[in-house]
Amino acid sequence: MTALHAAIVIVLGSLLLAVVVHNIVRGHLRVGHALLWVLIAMAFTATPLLYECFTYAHERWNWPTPTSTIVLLGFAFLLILLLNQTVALSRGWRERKRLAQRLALLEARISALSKSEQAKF
Amino acid sequence: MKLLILIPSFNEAVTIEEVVTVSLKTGYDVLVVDDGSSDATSRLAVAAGAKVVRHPVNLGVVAALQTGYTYALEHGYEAMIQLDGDGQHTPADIGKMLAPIADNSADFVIGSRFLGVGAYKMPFARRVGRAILRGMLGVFGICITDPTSGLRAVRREVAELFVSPEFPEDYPDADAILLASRAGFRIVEIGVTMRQSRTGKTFHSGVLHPFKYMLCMILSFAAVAMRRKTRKSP
Repeated sequence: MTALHAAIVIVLGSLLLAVVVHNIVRGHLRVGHALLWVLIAMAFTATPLLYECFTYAHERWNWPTPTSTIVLLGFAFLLILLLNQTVALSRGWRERKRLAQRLALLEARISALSKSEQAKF
Repeated sequence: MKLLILIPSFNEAVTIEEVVTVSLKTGYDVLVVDDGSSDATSRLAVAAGAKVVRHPVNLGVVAALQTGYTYALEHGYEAMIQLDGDGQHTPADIGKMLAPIADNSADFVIGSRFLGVGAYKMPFARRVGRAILRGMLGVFGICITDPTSGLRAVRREVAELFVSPEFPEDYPDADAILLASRAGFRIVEIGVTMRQSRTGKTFHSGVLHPFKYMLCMILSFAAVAMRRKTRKSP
């Protein structure tokens, strides 16, 4: 990795971090949800350093090439992220279902009450 | 016995009025849970004399059933019977379905199309699916001829289990039967007459949907089987 490559990656990582922080400040992104993105941006920024570590491991212990290792780790991370998002989606769907059911039952109760009030007068 | 006839429905404007009218003739209260229909299902059901609870958005048949059961529990009903809104089920069978609950010989009654009453024709692919579901239940010693029947009567205690988070979230068929059985409820089947759907709509139509249904059912069944047993409330 040349110095230019490293600089480009660090700038892109810093930009991503800035966008994430901006979204948190503006209230578009919940801090709980943003943590993962902050980690991604930091990992991105630290890629040149990681690359050196992987190069060392490749030379010393015959690990896969640094590029392969980064792609493999990135792919594994994406899978974990996808699973995490699906779990969040299921939880969100369950909450939406409960709220919609509660709303429907309350509307039915209000409707029955107003009918009985009308019948009194 | 204070009974509620529960009709989950989604875009059933063609049939709902007749189903409600015939159901009301039995003398029991009728609740239509409109699962976010875009047609006049709610309006027609109210006009026919049913109580109506309307979901603001479409949530699926399980949510509609759970809303109906929650309504029944909140209003003190002792038993509930669920009918399809497409006119497949005959309200005349309600008395038969209710008898085992009334004489305390069962907690959960399933109306079966395959116990010699009537002549219901099922397509080959669905017969295969039914055989698989029967086999899965058979592994647990549960002998049910019609695990996908939508005509079911339950006692209040079973409804309490069915509104819990353990209730299957996609298709409450063999997995719901297994859940009730593992909770210690007594399940019986009664032969009933079922007509072909008047609207011609079938829940399991298409090419991919039957596969999706079977995969979901197997997964959900396995999940129910692997969970710790739920004990029925005394």
